Amino acid sequence: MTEVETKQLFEKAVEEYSDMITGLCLVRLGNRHDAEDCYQNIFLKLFKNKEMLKEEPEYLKSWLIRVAINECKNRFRFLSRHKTEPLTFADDCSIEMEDRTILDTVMTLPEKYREVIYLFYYAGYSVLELATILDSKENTIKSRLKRGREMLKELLTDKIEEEVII
Amino acid sequence: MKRLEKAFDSIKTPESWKENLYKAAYAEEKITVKKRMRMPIKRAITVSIAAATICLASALTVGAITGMFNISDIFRIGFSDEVSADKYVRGQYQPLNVKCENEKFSFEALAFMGDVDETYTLLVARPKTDKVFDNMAIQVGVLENTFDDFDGFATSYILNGIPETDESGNTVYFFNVRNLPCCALSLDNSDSLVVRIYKIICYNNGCPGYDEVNLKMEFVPDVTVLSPIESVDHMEKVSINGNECIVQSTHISDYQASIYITYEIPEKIDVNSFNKRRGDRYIRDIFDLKSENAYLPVAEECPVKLVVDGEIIDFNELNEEIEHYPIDHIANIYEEEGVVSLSIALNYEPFTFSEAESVAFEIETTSGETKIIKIK
Repeated sequence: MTEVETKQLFEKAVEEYSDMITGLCLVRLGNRHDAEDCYQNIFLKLFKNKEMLKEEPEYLKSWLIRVAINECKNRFRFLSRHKTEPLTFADDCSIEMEDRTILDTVMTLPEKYREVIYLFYYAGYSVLELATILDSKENTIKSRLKRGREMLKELLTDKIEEEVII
Repeated sequence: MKRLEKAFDSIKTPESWKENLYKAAYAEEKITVKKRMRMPIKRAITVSIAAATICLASALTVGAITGMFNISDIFRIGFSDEVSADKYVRGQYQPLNVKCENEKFSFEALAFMGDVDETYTLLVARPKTDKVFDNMAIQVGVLENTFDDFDGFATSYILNGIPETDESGNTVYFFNVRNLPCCALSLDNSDSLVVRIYKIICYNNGCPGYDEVNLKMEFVPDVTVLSPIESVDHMEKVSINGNECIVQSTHISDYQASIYITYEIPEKIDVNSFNKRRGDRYIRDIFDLKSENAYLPVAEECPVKLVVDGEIIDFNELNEEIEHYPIDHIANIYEEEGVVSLSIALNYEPFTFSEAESVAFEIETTSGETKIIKIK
């Protein structure tokens, strides 16, 4: 692959998958600044594994998600010795208030529920696909989705009318 | 869940994150190639006896710089870093007086400390305006000056400041900058380190304000202040829960104690298609972890224990994370001459090696005997 081709494919992948990776990093780390650093490292890894740029989009997408999950885990370990600021989407003035409330509520869920909820509802993966990507059993994914939804519903009931959400 | 989908959809990547990503990746690759061409980084090097004398002298100097601040409390309470706090109290650090500034902030590197495995630089930021912030953070990276031709990029991360009030009643912010592993010190040369600040983030009324900056502080680290690592190669065979393992080495640093164990996977498997779940199963089996959802990394229950002066030392990993994916946190998999092995690192809480009277790893073997690997 020539340098020009690499640059084109790399920038296309950045454009295509940035929002998904950003969301996943935010949901996993709960901290905007570390999410930014992780985001950067994930795409650096993509550059180092240039052959991935030529893969089928779905394969590349799931590869990026796996890299993102591992990167976030490593980051989490590193951060265990550092104080970081918890994320509240209330800080993000570019997001509508109602969406901010929902996102802030999602961020109060334990991380394992946040992750499956994000990948299921945003990245559009099925339970079976998630089981493969997250290397978990289907039943584990199902129960996390179920429990996450229940917790979310419970938490949001006080904030937004139930029929708006479900 | 339509609203949920819409809410997730509203998360957009800031344009500033995407800017120069290709350039950065390209530069990073060149840096990596350059690093590989250099001498290997020595991670376990003994430190000069002169360190104690230098440390004693340095304590007085930084005391003058930091004035009224209780730096050890800032480490202990602000950064939750007991090890650095103790080092500071003992005067085991290099005082620095390196400054940089722009029109809004002045920064000063105050002290450099750590051990040969992990080093920190303490910074203080002083806002020049009277504007009050909710909080302050910086995006910071540390680079060896060898790579100054790649001015645009170093691996960096975001650190939140710890606010303190100075003698004039102004708020200043302390930062404990850790060198990331990719910037580990080469202690056999005298390269200077460059602490570079890329971004200053100030929070006002809940919203962050970003200032892209390029502020640098350069100093030659005095590696004699760094504590040595007690690093021993063992290469001893040991059977744990019916699994034949090799204790490769043990490392005891100021910040962490570790034992490295390898396990050759007896089955014929392809390392490239290795299933993580299967790797986790081996780890659970070796360390007698009862079931996939009941793994608690409790030191007392593990067949490999670190015992210091008769006390079992706790693991320093995060339980919640290890519970689900132990292989991600304590093991690597690799292939050598067709044999696939797991390299497992068990990490324990730090303790003061020099003050301990006895230090040993105790391994419950398959036969029921306890194998003792005595370190001290």
